[in-house]
Amino acid sequence: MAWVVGIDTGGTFTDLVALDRESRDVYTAKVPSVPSNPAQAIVNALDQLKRERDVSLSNVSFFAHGTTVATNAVLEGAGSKAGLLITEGQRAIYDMRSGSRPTGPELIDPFYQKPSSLIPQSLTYEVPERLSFDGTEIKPLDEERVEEATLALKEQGVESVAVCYLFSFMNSAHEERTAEIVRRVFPECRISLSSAVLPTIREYPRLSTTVLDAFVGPVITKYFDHLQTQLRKRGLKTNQFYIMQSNGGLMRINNAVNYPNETLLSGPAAGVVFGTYLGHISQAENVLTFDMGGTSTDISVIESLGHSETRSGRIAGQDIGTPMIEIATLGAGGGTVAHIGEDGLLKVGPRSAGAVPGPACYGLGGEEPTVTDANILLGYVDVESFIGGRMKGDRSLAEQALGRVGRHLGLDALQTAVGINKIANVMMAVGLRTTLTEKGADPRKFALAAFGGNGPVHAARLAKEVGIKKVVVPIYPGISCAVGLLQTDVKHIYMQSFLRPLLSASLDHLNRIFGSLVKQATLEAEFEGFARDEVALVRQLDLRYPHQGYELSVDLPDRELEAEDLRRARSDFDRVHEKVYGISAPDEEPEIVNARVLMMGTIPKLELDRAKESNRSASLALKGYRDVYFEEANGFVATAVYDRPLLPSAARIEGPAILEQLDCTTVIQPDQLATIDLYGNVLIEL
Amino acid sequence: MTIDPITLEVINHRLNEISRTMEHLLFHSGYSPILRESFDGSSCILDRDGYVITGAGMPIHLFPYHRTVTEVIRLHGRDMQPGDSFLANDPFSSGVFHVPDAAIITPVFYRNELIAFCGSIAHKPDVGGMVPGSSGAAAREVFHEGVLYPAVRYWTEDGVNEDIERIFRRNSRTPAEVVGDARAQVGCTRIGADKLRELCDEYGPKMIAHSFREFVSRSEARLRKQLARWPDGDSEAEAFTDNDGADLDKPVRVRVKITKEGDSLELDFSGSDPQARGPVNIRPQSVETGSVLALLGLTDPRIPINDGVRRALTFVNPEGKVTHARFPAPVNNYFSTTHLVYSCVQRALAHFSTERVSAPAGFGTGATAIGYLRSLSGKPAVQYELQVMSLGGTNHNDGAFGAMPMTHITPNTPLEVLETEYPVRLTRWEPKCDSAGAGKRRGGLGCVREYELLEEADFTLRLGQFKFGAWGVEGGKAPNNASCTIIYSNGGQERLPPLASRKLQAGDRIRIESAGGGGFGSPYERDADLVLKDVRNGYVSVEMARKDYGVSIDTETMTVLAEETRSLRFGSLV
Repeated sequence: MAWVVGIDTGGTFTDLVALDRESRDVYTAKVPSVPSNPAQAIVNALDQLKRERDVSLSNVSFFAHGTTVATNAVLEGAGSKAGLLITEGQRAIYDMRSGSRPTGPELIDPFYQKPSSLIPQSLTYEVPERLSFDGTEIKPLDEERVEEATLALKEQGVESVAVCYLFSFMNSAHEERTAEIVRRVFPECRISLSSAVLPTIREYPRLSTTVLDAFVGPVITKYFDHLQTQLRKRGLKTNQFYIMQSNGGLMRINNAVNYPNETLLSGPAAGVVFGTYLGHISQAENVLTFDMGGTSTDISVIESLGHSETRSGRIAGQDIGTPMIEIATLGAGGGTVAHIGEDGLLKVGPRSAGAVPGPACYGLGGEEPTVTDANILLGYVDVESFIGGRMKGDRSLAEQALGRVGRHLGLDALQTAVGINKIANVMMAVGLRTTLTEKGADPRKFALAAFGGNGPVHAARLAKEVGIKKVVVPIYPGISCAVGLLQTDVKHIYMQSFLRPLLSASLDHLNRIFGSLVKQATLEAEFEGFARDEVALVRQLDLRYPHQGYELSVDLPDRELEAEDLRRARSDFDRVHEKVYGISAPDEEPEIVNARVLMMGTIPKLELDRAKESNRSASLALKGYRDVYFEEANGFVATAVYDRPLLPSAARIEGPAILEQLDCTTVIQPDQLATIDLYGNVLIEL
Repeated sequence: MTIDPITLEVINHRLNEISRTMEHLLFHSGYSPILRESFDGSSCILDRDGYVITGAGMPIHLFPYHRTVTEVIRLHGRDMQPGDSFLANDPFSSGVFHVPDAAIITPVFYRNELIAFCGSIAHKPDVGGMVPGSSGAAAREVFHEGVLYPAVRYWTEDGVNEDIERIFRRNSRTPAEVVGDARAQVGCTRIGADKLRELCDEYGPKMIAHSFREFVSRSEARLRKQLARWPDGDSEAEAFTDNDGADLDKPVRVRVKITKEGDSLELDFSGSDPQARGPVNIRPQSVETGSVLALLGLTDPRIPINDGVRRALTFVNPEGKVTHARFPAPVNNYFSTTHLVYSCVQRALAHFSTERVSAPAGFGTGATAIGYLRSLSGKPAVQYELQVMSLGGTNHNDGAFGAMPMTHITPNTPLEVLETEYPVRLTRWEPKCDSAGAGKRRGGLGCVREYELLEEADFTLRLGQFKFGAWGVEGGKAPNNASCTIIYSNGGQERLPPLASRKLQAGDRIRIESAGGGGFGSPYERDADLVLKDVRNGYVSVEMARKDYGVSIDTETMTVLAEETRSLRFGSLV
């Protein structure tokens, strides 16, 4: 037996998917997360796998994991005590947080506050040293001062030290020498160098990213050690033990301790990877992922089967410059609370009832109505079906909660439920449209990939509102992130800033930079255990028009650069800029900001099996009928309810219809037609 | 006609989506870097009578759109056609603050009936006038501040009005950028108009018009409800600019008297000084927007800014005052005077508002420009930067460090980018110890920023003010004042006035000290551990901890000496 296992830790649940490569048996599980000890939930999920499928860990040949440990450390301010060494005279960089622009009312609120610094000034030490913009030394490193500062930090009990000197991305000598000194006088200290963490121009994002690295590094290291020990003790043997990164690629767990920042948005990234796979198997080039969970909804744009990247990520207000998958998050999930706003109108969110007390219908003490409570009253979701029937809801509690809020507007419980559903839908439709608009993308060319516990409840309705022609609901919508963990490659991005006008850049210099990035990539690929032919390298330039505050990447050929390549990069850049922003400036010579190398190491991926074409009809899976509210009908319609796992491939289902499965419900609107494809996906055509 | 509350909330989301989409298109299809980097632009939806319904982007722009559209209606109300767009940048006939702020207004027709207006404002890099950027300290008339376009027809169904565009282009030092931005503005308002028409297709134009009225009256009701909770009465506040823009020794008074009765406010600026010779003057739209932002900041910043807010307010602001400049007075330095208005209103409102009180942000926010004959690319270049101060302490929190007042953006000029593009070195950038106004909640700290020039350069300083600083409230202390010192390579030093230009040489250094925010509440009431934390962070010195805060710190152990602190704070009798 050779099982591959993906485990995604979420805020509420830890999801497991396991596949036996030989028998093609697929097993899925959802166990409650254990925030105080996330590894425990993983062990519980694996125990369940062992119990129900008799799979011991020694039979697992591939293990991938998405984690929120780093995320939670930042959200809860529970990282480690860290110190910071900076260039003398530059104490404002971190506190100032250049480029911050509060959104919404905060923009005009005199009570506005910037996020607090993860390392206070009292643990920040200035070091006399200075490099010029081209990396030449203006002032040598004061090694004595480094030593004094390190001893002072040791005295104060820090576990790690971040070092961010000006222009270290052009010349890392001072930072590296600093690391040697720190290692000598304080060997047990973890060190984060900005020239290693993010060697790119713009001191604030580089510093903030390096500080995050130092803040979560020790926490992540402890967690990975603990997890490895636990799993090894239980018999896990494989070296193929991977961690998901925010960039959508995996990395070996023993390498992951070197990149704690990369795990900050590990789970949602796996969802986007899965969305890409879904696009691939359902012949949709362009996919909009719509992952609606209990507290929020993640949206991401995949064009031509490639996800979008951002370098201005943020978590709990902390800025991260590490390239990562671009994901927009809306504060609307199943547990989002409805209430009467100051303007007297019905509001949905931004507060969430979370997992505890959760929606009113859970009966765990939630008094306020949520999106899920509304969905119950409207007949979309069955109270019997929470978490595959392991938890039962109480419809009357939902009704009471809805009535309490609706009363203020003269609405009964049902009218309130209709209102909440409408408003939640318009919020999500706006979110989907805005995300597409910002990419200059046309909704008609996209498929909506709906997952998360609540995505498939709303997706068909939203597609209609947004003008999307096709909805894909995967076979396991509730554990999509776990599946995504098993469908990607090992991926690392190496960057080096090099600010020059494109055409006048020295080819020699550029080739030297690429040479050193390629060398780093090759070494790391070896460390990750790859043979030469399993690794693909992509060379890229990040370009911008002069003075722009953002840049875009264009690909280069994988060889020594020639003058012609730069000219081609220029026209490629004009084209990409035109595509993204609707305009270009071909008369202006773009500037190089960064050289980048992407390293991708191919690893085996989980391929879901295709079923045989069947000519059986959907009626086999018909469970019965229930009354479901549809806006078009302006009321309730007797609607067929199907047991989704029993639906044969190629089955056709006419809307309105409800498809129920263990952890998720799919709603098909009147006049929509759904089919089951060979992978068991539900395709809804509009 | 009635509209159910659910539909109203749905339309609310849809309208906000439209104004945000317009804003996005403006910022991403505009040409000039100043627009993208300073976010100095906005979009707005107004009803058919020119009342503001909702908007996005710079909140400071929103309230005055009403004046601009009123002028469009006055001039063109009878012959406006579908497809028209109007260009307005005249601070005297329309609602813009100064000449570089160009507004584009597009009337929205649905089946040939006027239903709304879509507007957009974007600060232009140059619209002519005496100096590059159009805003010069030497201006004595608005004619010195660029070419005025008094709501002229810039676009029609058939496309651009080439005559107007030719004049626009010809009167700018940055023709490509101004035309590129203006066209982006037209584009975004036309998309906004299309989307409003789609909304009418779905809900009908009557329903949309009705929802406009609802949003306006709901904002009004929210504000009135807040005002009703305050005691009736009146309160006054005043503050001074350092100079009148022409005579550097002549301060100018801004004064407001606020009378609160029931659920309305009257804001009376009659006590302000007569209009000045130099460009510190402002127009009523600046007074109104500064007042509204201060008021919402102390009541509820979540109240949507629309014309409902105006209905609860009465402005008394006679012409001929610095707060209501008469044509053709210069007005280009509107920002610092508007910030004074904002701070005075905040100060006067402290009399009524006890739940939300804020000390003022530091005075002096402005800009610097260093012009080099050759930048590192070999071409002449100007290093333009916004210089911001810090926010004041409030009854809830310490003031934010480094943000624009009124709209709390932190400019983004990475020093690594500056040094890569210009022959300059940023030798020092750090919070300045003891610069914040002390208080139970202190202000944000002031900052020291020091540049060393590597080549000769022309330095232009345009900061708000240095002499008259911000104040503390409810026992809080005043912060330091802003300043600018040139440290010449030959050893001499010169403190500059806030508006100045100097020719500098390689090796000369420019040292700018920004002002901290004012303090809230007695510093003696600040938790001694917080004071200790500030000392450890280098924000407050041991001496000032003792002097201002009455906290004695043992410098050996870095701990609070509790006994001595008690006696410093409460006297030895206790």
